[in-house]
Amino acid sequence: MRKTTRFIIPALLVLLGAGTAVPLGAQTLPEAGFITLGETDFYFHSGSWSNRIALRSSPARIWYVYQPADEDPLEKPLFVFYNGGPGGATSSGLLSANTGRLAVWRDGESGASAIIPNAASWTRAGNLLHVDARTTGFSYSLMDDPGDDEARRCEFDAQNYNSFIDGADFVRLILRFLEAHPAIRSNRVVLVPESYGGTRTIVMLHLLLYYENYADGREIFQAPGLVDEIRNHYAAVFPDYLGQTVPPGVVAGQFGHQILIQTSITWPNQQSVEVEMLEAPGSILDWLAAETGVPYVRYRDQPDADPNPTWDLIMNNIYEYLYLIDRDPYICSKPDGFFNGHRAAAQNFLTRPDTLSLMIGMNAALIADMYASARSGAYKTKLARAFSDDLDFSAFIGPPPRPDADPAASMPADEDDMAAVFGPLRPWDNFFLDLNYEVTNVFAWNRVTFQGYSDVAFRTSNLFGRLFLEEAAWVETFATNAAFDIVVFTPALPEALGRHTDILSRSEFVAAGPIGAERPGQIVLTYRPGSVPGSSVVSRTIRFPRYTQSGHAVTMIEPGEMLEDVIAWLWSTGLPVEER
Amino acid sequence: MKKEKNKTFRTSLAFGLMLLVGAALPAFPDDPGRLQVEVLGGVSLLRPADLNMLSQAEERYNNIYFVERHLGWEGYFINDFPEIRHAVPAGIRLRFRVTKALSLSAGVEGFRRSEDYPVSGEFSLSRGWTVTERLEYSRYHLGLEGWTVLGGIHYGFSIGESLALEAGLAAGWTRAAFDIGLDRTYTVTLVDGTYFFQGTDGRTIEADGSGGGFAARAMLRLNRPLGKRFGIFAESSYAFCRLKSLQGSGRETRLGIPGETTWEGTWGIKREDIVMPYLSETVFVPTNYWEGWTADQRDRDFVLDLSGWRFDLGVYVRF
Repeated sequence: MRKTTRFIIPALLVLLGAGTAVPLGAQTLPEAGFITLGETDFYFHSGSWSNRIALRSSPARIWYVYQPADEDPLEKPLFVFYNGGPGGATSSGLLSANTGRLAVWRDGESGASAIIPNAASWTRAGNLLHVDARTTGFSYSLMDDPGDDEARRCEFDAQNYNSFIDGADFVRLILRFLEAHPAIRSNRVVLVPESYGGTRTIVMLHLLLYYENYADGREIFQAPGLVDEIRNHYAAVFPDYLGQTVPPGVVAGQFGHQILIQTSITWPNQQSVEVEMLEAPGSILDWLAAETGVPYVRYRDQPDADPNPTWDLIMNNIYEYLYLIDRDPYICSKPDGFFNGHRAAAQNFLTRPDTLSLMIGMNAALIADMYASARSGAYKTKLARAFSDDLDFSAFIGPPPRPDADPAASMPADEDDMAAVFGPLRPWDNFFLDLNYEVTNVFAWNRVTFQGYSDVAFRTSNLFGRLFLEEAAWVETFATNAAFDIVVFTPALPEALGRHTDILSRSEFVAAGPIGAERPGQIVLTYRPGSVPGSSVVSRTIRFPRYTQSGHAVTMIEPGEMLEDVIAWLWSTGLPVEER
Repeated sequence: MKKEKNKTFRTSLAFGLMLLVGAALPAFPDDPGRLQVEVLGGVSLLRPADLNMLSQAEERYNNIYFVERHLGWEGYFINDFPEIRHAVPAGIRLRFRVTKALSLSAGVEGFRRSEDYPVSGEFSLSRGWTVTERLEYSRYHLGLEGWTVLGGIHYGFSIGESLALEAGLAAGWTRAAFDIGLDRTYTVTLVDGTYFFQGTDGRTIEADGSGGGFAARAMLRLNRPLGKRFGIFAESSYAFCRLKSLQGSGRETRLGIPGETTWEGTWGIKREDIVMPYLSETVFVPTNYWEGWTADQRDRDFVLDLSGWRFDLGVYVRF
């Protein structure tokens, strides 16, 4: 594996050097590093101020990689990429999967891997910002005494990990990034999440569109400090509205596009419809049974079947079948381990200073906050070097890990190369974590969800579906429909959205259209009158192209096709990113 | 606002003292039998409903957030939230006998009552894994005090050789203050094989309020002379005193959040429309916190109602 990269890396460094030979100004050069988010106060309430759960998030250094557009970066939108989990890294996900200038290539059969130029780089369409969420990937959290096991254990709770503060982290990071790059501060921002990142996007957009609701008690989550930051940003970007609430329709002038790659949106409905569709005769599972010769035994036909099963039980039965036939739940046309194998390969490159520098387009040794000497208060894990794989209480989107299958998969990579440059880290810190299980677990179970705020738990709450439909009235939406993703089975999406009958009178999948699309598909949402605050929306269309070869990570398998579709869709929504 | 209230209080006190002095220096210095000093104390069956509403609301919150959410769980709360249902007032009264049957009085009386109880509850659920939630109030405190200056008129007559019956009316000014405090800790523990999660949430709230207003009493009593100068009496009365527009401060600290939130405001009854996934309910709670969105929740004024029946025993000395 390293032999392959030995030849490619010098050539790519030369290419990158040539690419940056013409200075475009400080804001149009690649950059990477950490943006420090300080403490912020927020609370959850159910109508009672005195019984609110008041929390203060801990400071954290959030990792980002910025790649300016190939042409006219000052005129181009900013695409913000992030993966899900929750607890999953973006660096080993979307950054490495054919979205940036370089990508990680891995041969599924031999396991050989390399960093290669990406012919389908989204820099063709705009400026790119890849972000690792709090305490995942390269991002790390800070506390006074991380060596205090009890204090560090307490950090893994609702004050730092829930869907709302997670979305708020990303809003703060984007606003601060834009403030630090005034030349593109008013540019359009296009959010590009994958998997759980969809739920994060829902929170982000609702915070941005209906920001005053998050300081006036109208929403369950209240974050007055964050709302002040949003107000300050709008004062700079929308000066005509100084002293007024900027309407959602105006906010959408900047935050008006989302590209959802196999995402959670209304998760309980998605899962409920998914198991109905997969258990129905003629589903993709029967197709797999015919292909492999191993019959699929539906959950209801299992000898110990629960007569009233939850969708979790049915999904576990499906996952067990996929393991039996050696197929990857994330892309069931491929052998088991295909998806995580790519992430593991990316992790290996990211944890070597030379290949890390290559991927981020700058010398990683120049990033001061990467050094052990700058990380005296840093932590990544609850337990020092011992990673829990017990996900009975997890919020993870995807199959539970199988300790017998690949125990190393849940462990951090060998970081000796990084330590040689940046210094050795303390036992509770890591340079990179692909998936932080401790974070994943806390999203499901924390002191807020325990106290009856089940709406904060995205896996069981319909709140996020409601917020999404409110946003979709203002924001142009593109959602992928991959053929082989069992984890987020997107054919279930139209019906899942239609179950929000208080907002929609109809949600219809239209296989044809738009005109001229190579990969057609749309979801037409028909709204009930007055169901979206401040809007008279009647109907909205979600672009829903079918990717016939892809699984969960669409850009990994059909990067060129997706980029073409995105560029055409942006053009159709009045956001041309290149001449046609 | 606070300065004006203090000024009003001082004026009232001065007025009361003038009444006392005026009564003590009558135009009949040669008639020692006309002046009478009384010391009394007893039980006041007051029920400050709006103040007690705090305990009722706290109990209701716990039912909403714990008991009703935990259907099927094992657990219970230890102790009820206390309410103030009586006080032990004491006072001194100076009387001047205008005629054999009619006399005038001026007096000062006061009380201080506090209720402090620890309250706790624990709930658990085991299904292969075990979740335990514990809610503990290490301190739950309600305190109330009041001072009243009264001027009265009394009419009495003998109902035997050694007993006299007397009726009276008094009116004046009451100054009252209350304070509340609670230290609450919530802990949740999840144990599932090797996986262990523990979360803790805690808060301390302290608040107070004070104000003044009109007070009146109607009395009926029996006097029993013990010689020429001394005597004892038993007095039953109904006091009327409803104080409004009480002002006060508040402080809140939260576990894990340095510093404290402080505020000042007028007490009122807040309407809280609680919406949880398993129920929706309206709870009314007294508060003086009206920052931000909570200002829209004001339902009505807070009334510190010190009215109620009162029973006193006392001694008097005539001069």
